[in-house]
Parts: sequence; structure tokens; C-alpha cells
Amino acid sequence: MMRSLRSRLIIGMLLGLATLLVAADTAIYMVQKHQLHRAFDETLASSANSLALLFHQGPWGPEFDITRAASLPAGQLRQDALFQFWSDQPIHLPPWRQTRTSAPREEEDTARSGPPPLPPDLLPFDWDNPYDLPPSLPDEWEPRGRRNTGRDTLVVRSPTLGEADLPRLETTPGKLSFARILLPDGTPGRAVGLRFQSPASMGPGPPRRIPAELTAVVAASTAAMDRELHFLVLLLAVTAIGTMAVSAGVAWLVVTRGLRPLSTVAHRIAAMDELGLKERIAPRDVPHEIEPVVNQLNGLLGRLDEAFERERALTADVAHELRTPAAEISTIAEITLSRSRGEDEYRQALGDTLESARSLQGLIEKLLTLARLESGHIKAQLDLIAMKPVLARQWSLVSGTAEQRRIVFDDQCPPDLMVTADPQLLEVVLSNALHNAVTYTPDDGRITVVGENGNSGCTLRIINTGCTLQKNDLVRVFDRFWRGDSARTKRTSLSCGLGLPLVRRAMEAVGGKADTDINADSRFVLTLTFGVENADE
Amino acid sequence: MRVLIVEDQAKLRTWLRKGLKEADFVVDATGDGNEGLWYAQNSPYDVIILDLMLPGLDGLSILRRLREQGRDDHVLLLTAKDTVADRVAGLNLGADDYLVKPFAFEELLARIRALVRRRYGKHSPVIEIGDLRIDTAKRRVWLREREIELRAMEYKLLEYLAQRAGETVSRTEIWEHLYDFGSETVSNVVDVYIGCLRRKLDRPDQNSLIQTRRGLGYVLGAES
Repeated sequence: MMRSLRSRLIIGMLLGLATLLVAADTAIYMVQKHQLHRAFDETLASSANSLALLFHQGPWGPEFDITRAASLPAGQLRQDALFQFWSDQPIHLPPWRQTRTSAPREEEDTARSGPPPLPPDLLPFDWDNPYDLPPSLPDEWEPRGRRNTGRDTLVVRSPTLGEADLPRLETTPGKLSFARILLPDGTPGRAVGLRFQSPASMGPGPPRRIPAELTAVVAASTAAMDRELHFLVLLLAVTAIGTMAVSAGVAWLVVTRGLRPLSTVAHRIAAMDELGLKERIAPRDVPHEIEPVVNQLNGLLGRLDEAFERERALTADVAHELRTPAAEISTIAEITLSRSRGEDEYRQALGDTLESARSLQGLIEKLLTLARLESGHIKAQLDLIAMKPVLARQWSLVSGTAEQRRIVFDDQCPPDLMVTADPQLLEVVLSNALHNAVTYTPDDGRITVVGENGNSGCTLRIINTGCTLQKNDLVRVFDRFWRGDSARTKRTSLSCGLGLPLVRRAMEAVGGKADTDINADSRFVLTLTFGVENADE
Repeated sequence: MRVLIVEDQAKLRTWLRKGLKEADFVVDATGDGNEGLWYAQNSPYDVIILDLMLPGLDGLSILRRLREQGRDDHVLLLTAKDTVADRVAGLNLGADDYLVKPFAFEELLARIRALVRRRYGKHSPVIEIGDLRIDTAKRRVWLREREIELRAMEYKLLEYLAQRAGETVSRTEIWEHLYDFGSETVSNVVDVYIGCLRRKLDRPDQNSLIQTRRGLGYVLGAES
């Protein structure tokens, strides 16, 4: 589900870089394309304007001086410009002028002398007699635009067009309009259209009152520009891919190097087992970014180590506690069987064995209950229970021992004290608490039970006299198998060191808590605080 | 042979005491650490059986104090603690043996007897002095290949003298090894038992096996 951090980082970085490159390259391409188009259009417009200036109104209509077009500098007229001009008036040209729209024959050129020969694709023009007119228009003069009415009278077109036409563009007077077109040879091109009026007649001949309106289309192939743009796209793509490849390599190196401390930490963690829990990873060995992780990990290791230590100690304690009654049973049996004995001796042996077996059994039961409470296997069934009868019943179980040792039981529990608890767990709590109190109260001592109905729950205090513990021992009284004396207390047979741990766990299971305190006059106080019922829901 | 048991589990203590007494040991027993130390300091024990976890003073502390006072009593630690660290700690403090609960009583007896032999520099459980042969493991006595029936007290006395064969043993020493703390002092009880033993072991035509060193005590198997 979650990919490796390295690939995530690298992919993220590359995606970001790719987005950036695409955006930058698109911008570069758009700007470049715009500039190329504008320059292209400017040359087209300048060409159109320059060509338009070459018109004048001749005697038979607007005339175009194509030879001057040939001599226009490249700055004014694109060398590859194709053009075509139409007029809205019919044009009458004498036949010799009409023929001059085609390429001159070779012999005609060679026969001529005077002006230098023009390039073959341009029409030669008779500069000596520009208006070499007959006195009257002969009949065979055909108005050139007769077949074409209105604006469709073809005035001139660039010689390279041959007989092909450029498409007419929609134009408005005085305004240039640009369009993408397909040139007659099938290549894509760009064209500008303009409409203008030819200047009034200057030369001889019948003057034209109405100036002719001319429509022009000047076009040029965009193939070169497109090639340039294609090259730009190719260049941008290649550099982008190259950048991505190099970046991927660099990113892989950088990320791998950057993540090396992580893998070092991972190797050290992988090398740990439950025996290596004492090891810690020094935070100064790792980058700041993973220091919190390492700190948390060290904390976890510490807690695990403590837990393992506790478990080890507990296992040893459990073994120790179980061995003692087991040793008693086997020793009594072995010694008894070593010779034949009287009935009384056998009775004694069996009684002692039974007692040891019962203590073993009790220990196992307590251990099991504690283990179940700690693992959460016991689910408390909370109920409102009257404390007094339970207390009385549990006291009756230990009262025999208490009476033997002249311990006074002072029951100050109010009869109406109701607590929220699980009935069985409450029995466990009171049984162990009272047992503990009787065990640790010296002979002729006193055990007092005080109950209280508080706002935040009920409390029950079990107070016994003659406590030999110190205040700083209190933190340990809930530890399993801990007993007051570092070696052992006087009444070992009665205590197994599990009573108070059981009390606390059982209280926690019913939503309450158990606390201990020692009064100034050496009274040991066990306070049981029961939760409020609605607080448990 | 006199043994001290310091064990806080009352039933175990009682039954160990019973078992050891039935095996002809003289036994003192207590469940309290301080009391145990007092016993050990005030009587010569051949073997002290120490539990580790005791009220008052724990077993290792008792052992440490005894060794600090230069006492070389043979100590057997009897405990439910079974880790290597516990054993090493006990043995390093000067314990002579270590037995983990639960144990077989037979094994405990065998180990105690082994410790007794070590105390008197013997390796074999069988002691031979001249024609006299004592099997301390089986507690049987032979004289010139003939088994001799001895009462418990007589056997205890003979075994003690035999363990210290060749040495002069005072009446007090004998008494201390024949009776535990609860016993009433009877001034001539040792002499009475010596007399009983002589009647069973000696032949009229020979010198007594047990010779009297006037004012000092008795010696068994002296080269006289």
C-alpha cells in the first residue's frame, strides 16, 4: 500500500519538475510562436503596403509597376511573397500590354537594346514609351475585366503564382486582415488582405474620375517558420527529457544518501532481539528529522525492557512461590513413607500435605485471577451492591484467625452504603483486603472499616494498626510478590504477596481505584474508591 | 552428627527435622534468620542447612557473617531460587553445596552425609579402624566381619568418634554432637554411652577400642 519513502520522494520530485518543465516549455513555445508570427505578419503587412504603393491609376485603369516590385529591398518586400491584386473596375489594356503578363521570349530579349535585361520572371516594361498608345482604342481591345465584374477584375499577381489564384480574404478598407491559408502548391501559408484606393491618374490618357478600389492578398509560406517552431518543440522536449533523466539520477542519489541514516537505524533495530533491549540508538547519530522517531523508539525500547524485566522477575517469583509448597508436599510424603508409622503420624502428614496443597491451589487461583484481570479477560458486570452484607460475609471467613490473635474488628461501614461493582470482583477485593489486614495487624491490634458516600463515588477505608512499613515502601505494595520485609515477614504462611495487587486490579476492573497510606500513628490505610455508576457507561 | 536447619516454612522445617532425626542426626531448627545466626555462632554444627529468604536476616547474610567471623561450618543452601546467578552468589559467599526446592529428601541426606565426610577429611562412607568397620551411609557397624547392633545414641557416639579417629575428643564435644539445644544437661551421660559401646565392642583379653585420656576425653583407634 505504502510505497518506499525513496520512490515516493523521487516520484514527487520528478512530478514537480515535470510540471515545471512543461509549464516553462509551453511558455517559451507560446512566446516564441507569438513573436515569430508577429514578425511574419509584420513582413507580410510591410510587403502588402510596399506593393500597394506601386499602384497608380493609369489611363485604362489602375496599373501596377511590377518591375519596381522586383527592385524593392528585402526589408520592404518578402522575397518569397506571393501576391494578387483585384480591382472593382474593369481594366482595359492594349493587347501588347496584355501579352506582357506572360514571360518574354528569348529572341525578344536578345533583339532589345538599351535597359539591362530584367530577371526572366519579371515582366519587362517599356520605359521609353510607357504609354505607347494608339490614337484610338481599336475594336479588338477587350476590356480585361469584362468577364469579371465588380471587384473580381484581376489586376496583377506575382509571377511565381503562374495561373493559380490566391484565396480572396474578407477585407475592410484601411485595415489589414490576416489568415492562415493553403497556398496553391499545397503548403500551409499565411496571408494578409487589404483594401485600398488607387491614386488618381497622373499620366496621359482619359482621366478616371472614380478611383479604383483595389483588394490585395499577400501571402507567404509558413513552412520555414513551422520548421523553426517544430525544431523549437523538439529542442524543448529533448532538453526537458534530458533534465528529467539527470534529475531522476541526482534525486535517486540524494534521496538514497539522505535516507541512509534510516536504513542504518532499521538495520540496528532489525538486529535487536528481546535480549538486546538494553541497546539504545544515539539521537546524535541520526538527522534531526528522524530524531523524534528515534527518541520515541528509545522510549519504547525502555518500556519494553522494563516490561521484560518485570516478566522475568515475575516468572522467577512465581516459580519460587510455587516451589515452596511443592517442596513441602514432596518432603512430607517422602519422609513419611521412609518407614512405617503410627496412625497419628500419618494423620499429621496428610493434614500437613493437605494444607500445603491448599496453599498451592490458592496461589494458583490468585495468579490466574490476577493474570485474567491484567489481560482484560474478566469483564466486569457492574451492578449496584450493598456493601455491608458482603463485608460481613468476607469478615466471617477471616474472623477465626483474627480472634485467635485477639484482633478487634471495628465495622463502621454505614448500612446504606451502595457501591457500583461486579459482585464477584467485589468479593475478591474484600477477601484480599481483609486477609491482608489480618495478616499484617499485630496480635491485639485493631482493624477499622469506614465507609463514605461521596459525591464523586463511594469510598471504603480499611485501616489496620501496627504497620511496620515506611512511607517510601508504599509505591511497592501493589507489586506482585512484594512483602514488607526484604527477607520475609513474620507470618509468611498467611501471605503470598498477591493480595494487594489483586485488590488494585479488581478495583480497576470495576472502574474504581485502590490507594494506600500510612497514618502518623503507624496505621496502614487501604482506600477503595468506587466509581459512580453513570460514569462507567 | 549435628545439623542446623534454618527454614521459615514451618511444615517443611518440622518434617525435615523429623526426617533428619530418624536418620540419626542431632537436629536444631529455627525459622528466623537472626535466631539461626545465633544458633550457628553458639554451637558446633557439622552441617548448616540455610534457606535464602528468611524473616529477620536472609540466608546469604547469615552465611556472610559466619565466614567473616572465620567459621568454617559446612553450609548447604536450600532454596527455591534456581538461577545460575543465585547459585553462584551463594557458592561465592562460601556455601559448600546448593540444593533447589523441591528436592528429594534422599538427595538432601546424601549431600549432608557428603558434607560431613568432607568436614572430617574422609572420602569413603565406610570408615575402617582396625577390625571395626562403620558404613555411615547405611548406619551399620561390623566388628571382625560380624555385624553389631547399636542403639541410635550408641551409633551416633561411635560415628562421631570414628570420624575423628586418632584424635582426643572432649566430653563437651561429644555431648554437643549428641544432643540438640532442647536437651537437659546430664553430667555423666557421655560416660554411660562410652561404657555401653565398650561392652559391645571390646573383648576382655584386649585393650579397649575407646581409650580414656584422663582429664581430656576419649580417643578411638589410638596407637597405644
